[in-house]
Amino acid sequence: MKKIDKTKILSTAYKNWEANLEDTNQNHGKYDSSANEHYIDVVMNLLHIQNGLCAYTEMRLCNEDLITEGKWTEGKYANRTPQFKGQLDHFNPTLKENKAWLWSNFFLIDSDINTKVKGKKEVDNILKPDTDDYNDETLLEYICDKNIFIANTELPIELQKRINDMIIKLGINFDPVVDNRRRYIADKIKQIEYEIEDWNSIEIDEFPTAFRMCRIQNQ
Amino acid sequence: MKIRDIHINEFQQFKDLHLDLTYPSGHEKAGQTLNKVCFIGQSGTGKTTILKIIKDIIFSSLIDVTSQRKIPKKAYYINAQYGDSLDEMGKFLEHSIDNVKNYFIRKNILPIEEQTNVLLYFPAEILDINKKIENQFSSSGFDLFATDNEVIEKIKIEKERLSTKHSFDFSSDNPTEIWNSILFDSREYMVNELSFSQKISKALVKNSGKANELVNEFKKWQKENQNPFKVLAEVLNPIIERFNIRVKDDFDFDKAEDLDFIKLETIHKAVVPASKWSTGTKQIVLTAIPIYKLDTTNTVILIDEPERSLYPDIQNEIINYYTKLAPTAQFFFATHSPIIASSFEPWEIVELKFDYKKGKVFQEKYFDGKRHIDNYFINPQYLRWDSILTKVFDLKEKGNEKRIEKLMELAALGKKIEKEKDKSKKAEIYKEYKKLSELLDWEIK
Repeated sequence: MKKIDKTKILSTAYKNWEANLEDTNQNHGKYDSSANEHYIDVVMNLLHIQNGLCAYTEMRLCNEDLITEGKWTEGKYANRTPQFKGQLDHFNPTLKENKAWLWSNFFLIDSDINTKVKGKKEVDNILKPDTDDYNDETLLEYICDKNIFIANTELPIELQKRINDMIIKLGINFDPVVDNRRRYIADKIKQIEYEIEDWNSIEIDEFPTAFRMCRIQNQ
Repeated sequence: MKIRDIHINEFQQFKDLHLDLTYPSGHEKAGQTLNKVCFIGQSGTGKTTILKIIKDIIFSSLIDVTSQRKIPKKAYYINAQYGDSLDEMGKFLEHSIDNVKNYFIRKNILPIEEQTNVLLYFPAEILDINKKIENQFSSSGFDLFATDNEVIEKIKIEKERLSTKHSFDFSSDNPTEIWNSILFDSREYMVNELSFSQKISKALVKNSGKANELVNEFKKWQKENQNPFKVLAEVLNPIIERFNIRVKDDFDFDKAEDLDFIKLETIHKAVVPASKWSTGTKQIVLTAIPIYKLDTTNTVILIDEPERSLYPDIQNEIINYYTKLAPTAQFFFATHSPIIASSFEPWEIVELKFDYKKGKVFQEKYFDGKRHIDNYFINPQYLRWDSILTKVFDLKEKGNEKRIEKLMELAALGKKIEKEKDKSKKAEIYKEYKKLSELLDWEIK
């Protein structure tokens, strides 16, 4: 799970509206994604900064050509019916009631992770990928033979427990994700082994964190 | 009769569903009707409904309406094949002609009398009929003390009556009648054997010469007439012996009940009354006997939930077992079992899924492009059970959620071993690693 930089705002129309709600301490109202005019802008802005990947699992949610800056006009995403997989996640579900449109609480994630894994579970900000303190290299380890992430084993046990708990809640080790990641990385490494590609030239458009950690362990 | 395709225009959860039930191109039987079909899908997707539609169409009194002025929209219909001729059979949408309900069409009608058994239907609730058999069967058996002539006459009448029955619905037919029909030859055999036994006993008292003559006659009869219970034993025992029971193929004529129904005994020869049969035993006995005993030449056989009460090892064999009992029949199964599904070629599986947006059920395709064997990307026969669950039955997880927690624990232990400098401590942690690997069935590489 890569760090996500939320400072790059393309959806300025939405962001101004949200900032105004926050500045004036207003309730955001009942959350209804389809009824909100900013929904697509929020989704596409998130996909832009997440490189079209699920914020937690790094599975691909849309084609790269959909997330270029050229698709935006005056703070709005031009195509109102873009094709993408995934759902808007309220990282902290308790904020959904009054702060449903809070930018800092949004991530775009795989639909199954949202509905089948994360749901309304209580969260720990230790693995919130847009926080200043978040650093995948210091917090996570990738175990190549098992294709799973675990907490960095150098960290204190109590901290490892918190991280491991969040890895599960965010679906990072959800079986279908592990399967997809295993197949994807095995294919890339096989191409490198056969010298069809090398570590620098091979194109990685999914699971970049796992691949990067595998590369370090392989070299 | 074999079914080539099913069309459901509008019925319950279905709309514009078309199922092609022929072998795809590239197959050695390309274009021919499938020998067996397996419906899978979430509860409510209509697996049982389709079995009932087939039953409904074939069982109903079929009316030729090709002369109708206007053919109304059909609710559903099938194309059935008799040799080279094709027969469209279906049911109109209710109220479509002068509020006539259940109005059936049938073209190219082949007189039903000229066919062998057209259809056998085994509902998922097949076990329920066992109770009815227990309650009713004994009251309708042949009279143990009737004279020979009375018995022969009764057999003759019964034979004639049964020859007109061409369909067997185990969900609604009278079980006594149905089982009388199925076990007719067995009962006839028993009556004859009993008759010999009575005659020999009487002759022994009066005239030993006559008795010897009768004994020889009896032996000759036995040679000419195979004991049908021995045949049934050959059919059922390979499966039910794994339940520690087998078919009883000798009779004790002191008990009138011996004439009622098939008897099972433990491998130590203790009779197991029907009321004490396990549910798995009932499932096998109540389905396999009719499939084996009835004439199933080109018969459509519908079996809902064949896996019921059967342990995985039997589930793994049951489809092959049934199809061997009726090699020229066309089978339709509806199941929730991945093991059952693994017995089918991909084109024999009809996976039904909900289209939540359109509010209807559709068939999941297992091929890309043209329906050709080379274009199929799923083959349940090649997959492990766990892969069938994830690839065919769409189960997301590979195990209980606890498993991933423990797998992460295992990974952390592995890291701990790598970092530990002290050899004895390393060995100690490895012991823990090995134990957890075993619990997770994780292969140490």
